[in-house]
Amino acid sequence: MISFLKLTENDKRLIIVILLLVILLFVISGYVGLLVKKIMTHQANKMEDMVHDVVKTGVINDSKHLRKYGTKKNHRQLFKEARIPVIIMLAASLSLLLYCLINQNFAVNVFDIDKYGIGTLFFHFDWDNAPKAKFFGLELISDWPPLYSAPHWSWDAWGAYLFVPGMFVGGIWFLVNVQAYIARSYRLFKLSKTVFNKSLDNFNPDQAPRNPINPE
Amino acid sequence: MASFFKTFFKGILYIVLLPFIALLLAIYFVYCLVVFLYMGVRCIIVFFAGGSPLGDLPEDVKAKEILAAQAQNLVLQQQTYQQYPSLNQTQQPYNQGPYIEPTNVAVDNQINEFDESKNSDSINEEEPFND
Repeated sequence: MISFLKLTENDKRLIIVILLLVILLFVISGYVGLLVKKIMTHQANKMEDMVHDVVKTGVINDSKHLRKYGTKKNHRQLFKEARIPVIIMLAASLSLLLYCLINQNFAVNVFDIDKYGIGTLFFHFDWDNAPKAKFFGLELISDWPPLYSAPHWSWDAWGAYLFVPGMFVGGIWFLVNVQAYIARSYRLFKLSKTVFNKSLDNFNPDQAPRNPINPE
Repeated sequence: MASFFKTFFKGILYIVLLPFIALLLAIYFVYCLVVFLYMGVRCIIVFFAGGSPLGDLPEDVKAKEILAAQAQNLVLQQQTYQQYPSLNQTQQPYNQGPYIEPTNVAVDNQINEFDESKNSDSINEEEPFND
């Protein structure tokens, strides 16, 4: 057991570095989670706007009706919000289909880095042959790796140029709308549980009428 | 420091729950796409049937009617008060003086007066017996 716990200086340094990285990862993910929670709370307020009037005027008097009405309004809101991203994604898909039809090539790799994909617009490095040096006993990359492919415009990749950014932007936009939909659904569920809830928490029997009023 | 640890532990929780969150998001992504398609088809049908695809629901129409009636009532009330401002004042009965709030001093004085009158009455009452 003791021999198992004997660590070299390199091992100790490696463990410290890994621990620091893990702590940093957890803290960053904690802050990202808090940010997402705040955004979802903000998005959920839309549901209160949508159901406020019908509840306030007494048109809806029970939680089941509120859930049904709220779901309908939520679907409509999703449809209104998601029109643009869906149109972007459809246009991107159509452009790729058109590209495939024109070139008679349905096996195109849209991420190709040589000629046909979006990869032609980015730097590509040969990370396997990157120069390395020893730093506090650790072997780390010490310089930029050799360049494998420089960004260049390729007219043969116009389908990928339209498809990948279109799907990326439309997809992220739609994902935000999905997140808003979830936030509104959760708020609706909570509202339906609390708005028409009959609670006796603040009930004071001394202030209640002594003699019940009999119906005529 | 406490908030740092709170964030740190929340970070651990989010990392652990990340696969489930991603799965939920993926399911909802597909569900929302289906809802979008359904709404799209429904909107097209309603549009060609001559209706308003994203118009008000029956509940919205009722709520708007109630709100409009309430607003109209408020305007009518304001107009009435502007035309007859005397309606805005509380009328006092003609045969009563101004209302004076009883204070402890006034009550004490009344009690003293009552006691005095009682004493004087008792003297007057005793006199006939003396006769």
